[in-house]
Amino acid sequence: MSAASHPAADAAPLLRVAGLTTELALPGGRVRAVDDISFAIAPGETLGVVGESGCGKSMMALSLLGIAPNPPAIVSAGTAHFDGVDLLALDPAGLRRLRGNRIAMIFQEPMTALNPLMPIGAQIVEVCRRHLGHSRAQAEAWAVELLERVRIPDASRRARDYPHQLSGGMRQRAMIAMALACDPVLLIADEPTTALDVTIQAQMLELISDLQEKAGMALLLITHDLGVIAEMADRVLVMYAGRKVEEAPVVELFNLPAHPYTDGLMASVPKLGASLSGTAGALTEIPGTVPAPHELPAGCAFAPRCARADERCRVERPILRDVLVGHETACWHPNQSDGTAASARTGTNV
Amino acid sequence: MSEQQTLEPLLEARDLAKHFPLKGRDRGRVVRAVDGVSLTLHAGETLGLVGESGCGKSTVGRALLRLIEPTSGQILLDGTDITGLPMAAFREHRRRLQIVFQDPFSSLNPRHRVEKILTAPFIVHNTVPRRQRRDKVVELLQRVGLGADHLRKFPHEFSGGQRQRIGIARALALNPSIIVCDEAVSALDVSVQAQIINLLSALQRELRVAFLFISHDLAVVEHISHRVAVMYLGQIVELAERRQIFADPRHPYTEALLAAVPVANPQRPRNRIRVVAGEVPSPINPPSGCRFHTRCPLADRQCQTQAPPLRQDTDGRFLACHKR
Repeated sequence: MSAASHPAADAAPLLRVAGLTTELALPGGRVRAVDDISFAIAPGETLGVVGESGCGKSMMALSLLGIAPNPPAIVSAGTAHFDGVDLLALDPAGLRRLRGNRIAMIFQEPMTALNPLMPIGAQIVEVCRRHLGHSRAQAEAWAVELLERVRIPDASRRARDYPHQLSGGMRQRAMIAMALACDPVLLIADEPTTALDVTIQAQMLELISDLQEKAGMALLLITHDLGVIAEMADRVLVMYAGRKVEEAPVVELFNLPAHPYTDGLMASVPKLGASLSGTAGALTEIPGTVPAPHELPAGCAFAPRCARADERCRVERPILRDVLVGHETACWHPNQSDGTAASARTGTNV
Repeated sequence: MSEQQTLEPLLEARDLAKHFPLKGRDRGRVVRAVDGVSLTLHAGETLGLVGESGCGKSTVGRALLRLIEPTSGQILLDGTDITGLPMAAFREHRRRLQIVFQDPFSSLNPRHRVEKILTAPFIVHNTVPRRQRRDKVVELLQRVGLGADHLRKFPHEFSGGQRQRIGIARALALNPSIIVCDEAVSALDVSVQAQIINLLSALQRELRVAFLFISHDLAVVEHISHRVAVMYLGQIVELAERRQIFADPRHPYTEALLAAVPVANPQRPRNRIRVVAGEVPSPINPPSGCRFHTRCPLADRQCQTQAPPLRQDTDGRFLACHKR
């Protein structure tokens, strides 16, 4: 599905984030882990967030739900309107009522979300009783149904298992079941399949898409894997060093990336089947490494690694500008939307 | 590669097995981590070894270097059986076999400077006279894209990619003919991963070193390998030229693995029929017959009872399947 054909793309956004900034108070001073991030998600839509480790994508998600570790993290600016309420201005009790209820989150490592001392069924029951006011019997029946929905075989027996008795894939399913307990309208998934083997990852992606389709749930999907992005996302936000460098509908991002970092990211990943089409030459490298947050350059954060960088890039931070409708990038020298500057990429194995 | 196939292999594993005994309640039972693996590696080639976690691929890599002693089977290096050799005699051969690990941080001593880390192999094997060691270390650093200015630094002062370069430099110190790369690029971010993959390819061209490239990432393995072996539950199910594996996978498990990889092309139809059901069974009590039969769409009675041998097909590939 492309964003253009997505029925919900024109609807009022479910979540609208503006200027979200999270600072980390470190011994050497304050650094910005999330720097002025804005985006919106429509009901039922999947927004992919992609970037390398340390780019701030997880911290961004944790900040939205008020669970960024404090100290050192402080949300220092921004708004995040969800259903008319600003999440960033909400008190802890208000956030608790939303979390695990209308907004749910799943993580890379299910043990961060599951209580090791409690059977998985009982954990789901607790969520249902707290948020839905279910009776014990109601909650227990619902817990088993949820475990069936995420296709845990023999669910009523498995509900009595402790997390350590389950395989990695089953644990991931149990966490998803718990996240779905209150029929959330927004699911935030932070690298949900990164720790899993490919066959289990495929099962999990299928499961998440199915559940999303049935429930009309919006998905904020955070990953470093461009393959997962291509399979799941309607739109994509690319982050680098805490900043948003590009946002576009998924097909457009892959066909006409505007930012040199997006370009480089796509060219540096080996593609399955590339050897068959004779395109498996040397991989395109992005020289150097991601700068540490306390040594960011004054201008564009990507300038030290960018072949296109000039004096302006080094001193003046680029602002986000539209290259096409719904496609914006923060670069002083983006690829043109007609692909002209992008033709410089011919010869790399994109 | 066909030219190299006819030559004597540099390294050969014959029916290699590693069984780990269990303790406590399960005393007397074993984990069949590697259960009858045979493969060859030729000078200057890269053999990719793929499979999901727990399939035994890392155990194969370690057993080949005798970092863990194989339970049974033989390892031949240039025709010499190195499995039974006493450690003193094995050390001569061990020089030619090196390994690069996934996590360069835990494989480099955090309290040693780079110079000390890279000099250690020269001392242990007494290959380079004391006065020439500094020059050799600088040469190694340059070979992996670092410089003499890094000699006095500690591992924590480097980025992940640079640390992996140091791990590679250490593996190169004794001019090995074979390097086992055990998930050597898996922990790196993609932009840095590309740098290390390109470095390994360049080193192979210059030094004709052979790689056993162990990875769960099929696209990376496709990129770097000449031949590929696919493992499932301690056994090789298919071993063939790269083109054969990726253009025309024959084992149902190879097919399932390839189909499960998310493809970075949003215009590809998002069909989901390619998802293989179930999970990898326990290597403590592997399924009877073909170990993949519990998840295989083609399995029948024969597959449940008879283990398919790894046989060579007319097109040269090795395949263990009754149905293909």
